[in-house]
Amino acid sequence: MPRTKLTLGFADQLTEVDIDVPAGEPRPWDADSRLAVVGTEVARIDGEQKVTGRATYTFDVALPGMLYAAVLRCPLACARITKLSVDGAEKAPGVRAVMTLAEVGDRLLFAGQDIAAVAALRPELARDALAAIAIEYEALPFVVDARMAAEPGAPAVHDGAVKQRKTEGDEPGASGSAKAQGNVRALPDSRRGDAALALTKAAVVHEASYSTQVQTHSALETHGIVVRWDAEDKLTAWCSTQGIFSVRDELAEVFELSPANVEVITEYLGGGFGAKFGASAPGTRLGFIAATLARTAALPVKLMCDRHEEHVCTGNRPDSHQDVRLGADASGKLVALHVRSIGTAGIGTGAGIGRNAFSVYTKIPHVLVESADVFTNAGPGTAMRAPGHPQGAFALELAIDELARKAKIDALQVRIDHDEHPVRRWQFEQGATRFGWAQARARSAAARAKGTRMRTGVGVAASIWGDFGRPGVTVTATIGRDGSVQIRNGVQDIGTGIGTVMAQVAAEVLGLEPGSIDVEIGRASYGPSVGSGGSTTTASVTPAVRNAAEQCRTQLTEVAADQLGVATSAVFWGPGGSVSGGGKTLTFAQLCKKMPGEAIVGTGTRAKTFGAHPMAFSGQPMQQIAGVQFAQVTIDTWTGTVRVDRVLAMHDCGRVMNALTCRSQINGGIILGTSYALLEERVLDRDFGRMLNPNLENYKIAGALDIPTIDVVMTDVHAGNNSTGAIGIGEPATVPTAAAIACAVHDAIGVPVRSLPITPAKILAALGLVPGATGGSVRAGGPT
Amino acid sequence: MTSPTLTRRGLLRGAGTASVLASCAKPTHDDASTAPAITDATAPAEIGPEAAALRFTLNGKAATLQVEPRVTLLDALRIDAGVTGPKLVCDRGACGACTVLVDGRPRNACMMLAHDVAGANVTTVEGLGQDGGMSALQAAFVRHDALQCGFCTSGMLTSCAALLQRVGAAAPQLTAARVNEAIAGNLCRCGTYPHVVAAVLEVAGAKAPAGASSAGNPRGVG
Amino acid sequence: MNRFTLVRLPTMKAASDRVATAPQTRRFRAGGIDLIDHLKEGLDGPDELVELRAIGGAAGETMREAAEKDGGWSLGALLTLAQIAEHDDLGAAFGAVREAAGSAATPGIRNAATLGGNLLQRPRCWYYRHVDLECLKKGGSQCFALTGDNRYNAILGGGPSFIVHPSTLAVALLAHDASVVVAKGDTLRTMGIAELFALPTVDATREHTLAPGEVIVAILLPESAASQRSHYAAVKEKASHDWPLGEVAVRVRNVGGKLTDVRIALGHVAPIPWRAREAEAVLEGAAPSTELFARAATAALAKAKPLEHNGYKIPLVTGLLREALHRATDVALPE
Repeated sequence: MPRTKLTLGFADQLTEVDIDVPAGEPRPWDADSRLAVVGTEVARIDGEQKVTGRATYTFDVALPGMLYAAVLRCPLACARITKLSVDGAEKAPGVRAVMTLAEVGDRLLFAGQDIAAVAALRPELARDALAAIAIEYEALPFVVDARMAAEPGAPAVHDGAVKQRKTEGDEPGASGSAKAQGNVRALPDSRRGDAALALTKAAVVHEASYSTQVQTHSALETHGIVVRWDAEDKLTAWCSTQGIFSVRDELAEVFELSPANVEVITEYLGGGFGAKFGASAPGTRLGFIAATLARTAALPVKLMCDRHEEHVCTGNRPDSHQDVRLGADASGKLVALHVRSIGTAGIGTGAGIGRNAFSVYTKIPHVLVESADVFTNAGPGTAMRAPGHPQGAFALELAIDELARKAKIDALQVRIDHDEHPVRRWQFEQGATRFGWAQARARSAAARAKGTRMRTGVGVAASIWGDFGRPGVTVTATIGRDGSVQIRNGVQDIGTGIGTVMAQVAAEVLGLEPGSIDVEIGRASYGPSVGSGGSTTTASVTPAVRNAAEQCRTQLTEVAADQLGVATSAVFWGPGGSVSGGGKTLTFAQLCKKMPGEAIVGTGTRAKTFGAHPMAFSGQPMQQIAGVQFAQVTIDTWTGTVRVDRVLAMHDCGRVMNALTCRSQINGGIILGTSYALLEERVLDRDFGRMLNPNLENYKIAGALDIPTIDVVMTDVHAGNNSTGAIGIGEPATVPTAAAIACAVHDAIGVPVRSLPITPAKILAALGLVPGATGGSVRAGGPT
Repeated sequence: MTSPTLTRRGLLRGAGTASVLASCAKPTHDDASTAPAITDATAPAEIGPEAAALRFTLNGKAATLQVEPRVTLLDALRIDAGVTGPKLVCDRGACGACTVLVDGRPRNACMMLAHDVAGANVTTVEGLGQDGGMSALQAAFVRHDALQCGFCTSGMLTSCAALLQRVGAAAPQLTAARVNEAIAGNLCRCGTYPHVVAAVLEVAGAKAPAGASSAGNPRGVG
Repeated sequence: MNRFTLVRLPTMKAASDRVATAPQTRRFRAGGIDLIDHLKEGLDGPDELVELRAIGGAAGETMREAAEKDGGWSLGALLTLAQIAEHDDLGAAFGAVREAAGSAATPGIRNAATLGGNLLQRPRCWYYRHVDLECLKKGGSQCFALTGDNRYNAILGGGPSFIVHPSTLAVALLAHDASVVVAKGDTLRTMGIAELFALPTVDATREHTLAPGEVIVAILLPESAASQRSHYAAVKEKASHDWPLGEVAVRVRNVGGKLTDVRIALGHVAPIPWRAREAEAVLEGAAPSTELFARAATAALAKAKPLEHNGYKIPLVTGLLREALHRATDVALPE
């Protein structure tokens, strides 16, 4: 089907568009497609497993003879090992295997780095054995603060070249390394026009520094893996991973095995948020350790991180320190934007600030975004739900609000005026009405003028995303003579409910109930799939499901034509998978009984993304997933307490696959963003180089009492990108939340808080109430 | 004010119940005036440090485990009893993923020693169901999508089940605020809280607040 | 966690003696929350845990009950925070006690943590809690909070250690002039709750004044005078389970339009629960008003000496105290 006419667009902005659909693909579902199952609210097909405690996570795997591993980690931010003996551990009760991961003379780069590991009969015996390892260190100079590390003369973190760790969760389009200078390694610039020159000509210039903190993923299930050797050259790994095939490939490479001899199983996964790719975590070689210990002991080994390890060596969202200059002309039109950012991903890379500044307000003619990684002696950062973007959004959106106040222009209108994306412009406008923007702004202005104790404020910010799914997925659909339908693929469910959506898509094609579809996922041997990263899973997997199911349907239609004595074109599919033609009807069960063999098998793949509507990234052949969020906060100016009252989230959802689970994802993005805005902060002590809050008590993640009332508007946007029209929502939903909250805080108290998290301490400082502190830019916290 | 002495007879709330023997009786945990006691008269004066026998009721069935005193209730349930519904997440009582009901009260199993439940009734998420199926609350969790990755779910459910049991006939008066209070110690990283509240209020027969409901949100309004 | 023996002795004397004879290696255990925290972090490694909940007899009974006594209350040290928070008979006169108990920790922890344990828990200072840092509290030579990240540390009464006392109940009890009944062996003594706590100038490695083998049996709340009201409030960064940035408890009577019997205690500002006598002096005998409360709150913090990162606690606790005074006296809060 080369050239196909589709109805694309959104809301009342639908148009007919001719697109090239690759051969073999069904006609993509578009705005005219009326679907019965896809898009409705369908409860998760594995919900009962989860609510009864029967779902088996990696952490729950128990194998006969299984040992428990524990890892000795470096307690210093930078150190050389001067003595190391594991003799004591080998003799410790219950120990079956011991290994070293570093040796005397090695320079260790962060507190948490692997040194040695043991496997024992019980977890407490493994920990006891670690205490029996004799080790001494020479402490070396270190630096853990990004700005201090960027100074000339700061201790050099790396003494050689740095290998960049890439995962499927990385920022879309993030590209390779540039030159390093000291601990600073520049990332590629984004540039249009001449921002520096334009700023000199601007009538109003706003210039300020914004900073964001290090956030840890804090998935509830920590990183972990269970390895069992099935033969000398064959193993099975149960892994808490969002990338089954990345685990398989890493283990195959490290142990020189054929990938076909590495089975990876992730039946259930307790969250990932970007940190769980590969058999190793970013800062600890979990898979290598577990598999090595298992081989030594000739028994299966389970290695789960504890919460402290999870915080310090399994990745994080890097911090950022952004100097922003934003200029407007005398009419209030934005003319130039210059952002310079540094941030630290610890010993790793990837402290970019996303595409917000460059690609949202594309009517700003002159833009320069410069960013750099700064190495510090801390655990490596890695992709975290919309890498870079919440940081970038925070500085950009708050800067726009500050300039708007200075130039006396409306904060919402200035956004609409500079955004070319039709979906986002529509969302800004519709959202303003639904949210009561104008009335709320008037209320907060009145309260500011009166100087009331309690203040409310509202803010708005934009979301942007640009990954539409990937090829390389193969789904097998099998319909048995008994009428059973099985859909099989090696994808893992990170918690979004991909299996349920797969069932819906197959059910849609075959006219069945989703509950009647048997979905088998979570094993490498179930067939190639994508990692749960980049918000691509649904957009990558569902087209392959549809295509596989369509193949089965085509074959069944032939069976039906035979049975009914009509041409295939005269076979009509009815409810419940029934077929009719020539005045006769067969139920799905009757039809299946007539199939020639034992089963009908369809194999569907996912074509490369096609179509391109309605908005491409400025200057790039890449579309944008649009969204906006409005937030309202209430602030007690006596105590500095901030509460987020409500958030309105308007998101481009492509074709909504499951309205229930889609809303869950959006809720999750907003709650994560709220937590980032107000609570979370990895605190490293500058003098010791250790994390001071490696727990879930002082590393604060939002609980039930900390979250806003959430109003979600899912905008169905038909882009004709793939056979189902699915896109991703996981990451876009968290991009603008913290920014909108920060803007709301600014509206409430009339002064900005330019650093996250926005704590009572920072509110009080911004209000000028803290003795010895200056408003706005004060950091209540210490290092990092 | 006079100092009490060790011979002073306690004045229990409610006349006539005061008795020296009272403290040896099985504690009534829902009576707000008395604290639980270790009351097994046959218990040895010293347990451990080696593994020792522990008897309790687990999800309605008698259980006997052999564990060291240092083993937490959570480890004993997961490793020794093979009951893996309760999860270990923070390991410090800050997240509630290990919440189990001990004599009806939600407790953090990671902050208890296994031997603390000698003689007690322990209910995990596996024990919440009825007749081999889901309880009404569990079914509502599924219907409202009150779970995403599901790792917090068993703790959420036990906290909510305890709340519903506690409010009893007053369930229709339950508010979202009260549910949020009850799960204030249950962290969820996926962001399921609004749907958890909706599920609990539905089972309670209470009114759901705007925004907490999983129905009625608009799609592609225009 | 290291290996240990659980010891369950039926009498107060036996339990008290057991710990008193080897206080370095034996610990009392009640709810065990802070204790298990210490064991898991490797901050403590006792050989024996002597279980207070095994104690029977009259002592055990007193430790487990909430009983009206001489117009006031005896609250047993083994009562859980949940039991205190849910105790309907502790009326508005003792509102702060219930509110404080209900504000601490989480529902699950409140079902385990005891009144006695809450009073005697160790500080939450993240330098103290870090197993690899030998701070002043742990017998080291310096308080790392003094020059480190001290956002959560003391602004009053600090030095040489700058911890803040973690007990939420202590703040409410201090505002109520409570006393503490302490047992050792066969003997009992009673002291004012303020005497239970000591500044780091006395001994930087401990927060309380109990001798080895001493056990808190009960807390006595004195008789409430007519019209007594009390109120507890805290500011936390996180509403669901967090340690307070600051907390206040107010006990007050309004007699003929004048405030009397005013007690104000502040929490999470000092190494001990902090009595704000300066504020009490401003309020005592005065007619309640927004202006008066502002003046009293300012007086309460007048001697505060913030460290590098915790100056915010001065306006925060000032504001919190103002709000609490409004609520305790029913004077309408400004808009």
